[in-house]
Amino acid sequence: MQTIKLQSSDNEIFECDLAVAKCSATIRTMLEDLGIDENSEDEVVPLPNVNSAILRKVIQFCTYHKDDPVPSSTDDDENKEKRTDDITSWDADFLKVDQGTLFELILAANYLDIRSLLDVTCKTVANMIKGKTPDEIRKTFNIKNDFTPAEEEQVRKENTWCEEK
Amino acid sequence: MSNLPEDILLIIFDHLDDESMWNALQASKFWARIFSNSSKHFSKFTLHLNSEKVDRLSNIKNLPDVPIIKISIDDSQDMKVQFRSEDINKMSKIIDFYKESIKIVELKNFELSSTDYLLKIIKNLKRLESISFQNCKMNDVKKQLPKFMHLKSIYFHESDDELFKIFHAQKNVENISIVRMEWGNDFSWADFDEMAKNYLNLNKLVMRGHGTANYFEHGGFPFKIRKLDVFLMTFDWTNHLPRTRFLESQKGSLKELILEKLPYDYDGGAVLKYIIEEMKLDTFYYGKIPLILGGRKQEVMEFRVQEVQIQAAFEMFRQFPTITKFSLFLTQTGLDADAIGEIINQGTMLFTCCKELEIEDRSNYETLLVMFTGLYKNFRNIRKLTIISPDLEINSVLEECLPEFTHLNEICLKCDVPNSMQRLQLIRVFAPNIKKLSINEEFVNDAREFFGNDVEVVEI
Repeated sequence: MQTIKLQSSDNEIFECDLAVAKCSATIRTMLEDLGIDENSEDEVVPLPNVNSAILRKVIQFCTYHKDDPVPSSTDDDENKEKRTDDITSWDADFLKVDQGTLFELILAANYLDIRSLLDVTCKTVANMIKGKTPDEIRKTFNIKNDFTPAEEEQVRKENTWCEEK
Repeated sequence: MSNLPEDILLIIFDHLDDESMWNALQASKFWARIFSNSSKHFSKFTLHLNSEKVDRLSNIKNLPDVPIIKISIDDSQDMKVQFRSEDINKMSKIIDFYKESIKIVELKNFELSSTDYLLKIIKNLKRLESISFQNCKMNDVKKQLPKFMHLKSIYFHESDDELFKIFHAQKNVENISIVRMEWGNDFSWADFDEMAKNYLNLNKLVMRGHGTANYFEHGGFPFKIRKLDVFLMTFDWTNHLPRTRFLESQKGSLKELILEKLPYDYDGGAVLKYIIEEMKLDTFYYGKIPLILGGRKQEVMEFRVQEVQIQAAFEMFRQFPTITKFSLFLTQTGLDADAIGEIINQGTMLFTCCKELEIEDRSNYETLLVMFTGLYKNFRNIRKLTIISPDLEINSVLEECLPEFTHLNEICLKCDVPNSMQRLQLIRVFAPNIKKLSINEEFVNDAREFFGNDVEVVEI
């Protein structure tokens, strides 16, 4: 089986199946357009935006999913609300990580252009938002409340109609 | 989370339902700004309200950065009647935050005991362009809605015709759409006319569902329109009245016509002829088939009709001599069999261009197909015959019609009637030149054995 070497930002070299690496459209383009020789033993593909911990996870994901059918273009269902309850149990287990890792995985999926990984990680974050109040959302993601006190005060006043008869 | 680039945040937002989106926007002004800067999300965002949700949304903020284009109120949760007024108050308060941006209002499953409630919800929406009612009822219609300068479209889907009575002041309306499963005999066409006569800019009228033909019988038509999209214009096929009064009233102004069904009845052919030859239309569609585009007749290759449209079908062949495939769909329409038979059996050579004839019998009359043997005789040049039927008389139908088709080289026969050997023999004797036969799975082996290599036998 043909393999390829990938180099993380912290200079760790990962040797993985060519088919696995090609789950990434970015790597595919590098190999095809930029003339990196797939057959060369010493050729290393540098991935300066992905650290070794994340690259290890990405390779794990792609190894598991390498035989999945390529999803068709989603142009048609652009306006359809996207489902988030269709994450497989393997993916759900795979994504049981801390928030920092999850966001780094999103960034890596985006950089490496791995659509299935980007999709499932974004869905996971969406699920963390769903069903929560604005306050709970802020707590979950440690977001600073950037509404000014004046705006908050206005909201509080506006809400008094709730108690009106 | 704050490290994620904006385009990724938008992908995440894309996976949120409206209510979660709404809460997310209120969590962070930064998010709200990203969201409102994205025109794609901005145009899609709808504020959904209902009586159950209105309490949860009651701590809603006024986010001036996030213009709401559309509100949708679905009352299917069954509002508690005693709190109705209170719920409506809460909704109208939320809606009022966005009164400058809301252009579209959708009301679903709403039963309004008074016009006042509707007024409370929409009265301040100065930019309202479109309002739709789906499965809505209105009980007290004393008050008119104030005039909305920008209101262009009104949709009544499965909703009370009483609603027509509150829209008299909307002089700028251009589009009306009425959709119902059944229009029924008690549908208030007079109320519709009363409303529509005020609309001097009325451009497009959509009437969908069974029973629209009644409108074209009553003869009001107090408006001129450019575009009509209608299910059916003529129906009463026991009565020889001219059906063209509506068309005459719109002659010169009507430019686009979409007919879901070809005209029914004895006058169907005359109506179709009038539409094509007299109306000077730019565009005319029969269902999805363009018959006229840019004022020019198109090459029509195939079409399908029910037996009650047979007169219109004859006219189709007269108007479009390019038709090569004709499908007849037999249904249980309570038709006057003798009269239809008489029409069909009239001698005509209209169909010589037709290469493919398909008859699908879903009538459950069992002998309806026999009546159409006269029709078969007119299709002398067909190459392919398809019959889909549970008709027990199928063998005699074949015996009658097959000898007429000397050019036949393909037969497609979907019927589970027994006596399959007799059928195969009929085919061999009366259609000796066929090269391909498609039949039900259970008869395939018999047929292959019977025809050997002479005929390719396939399963339907």
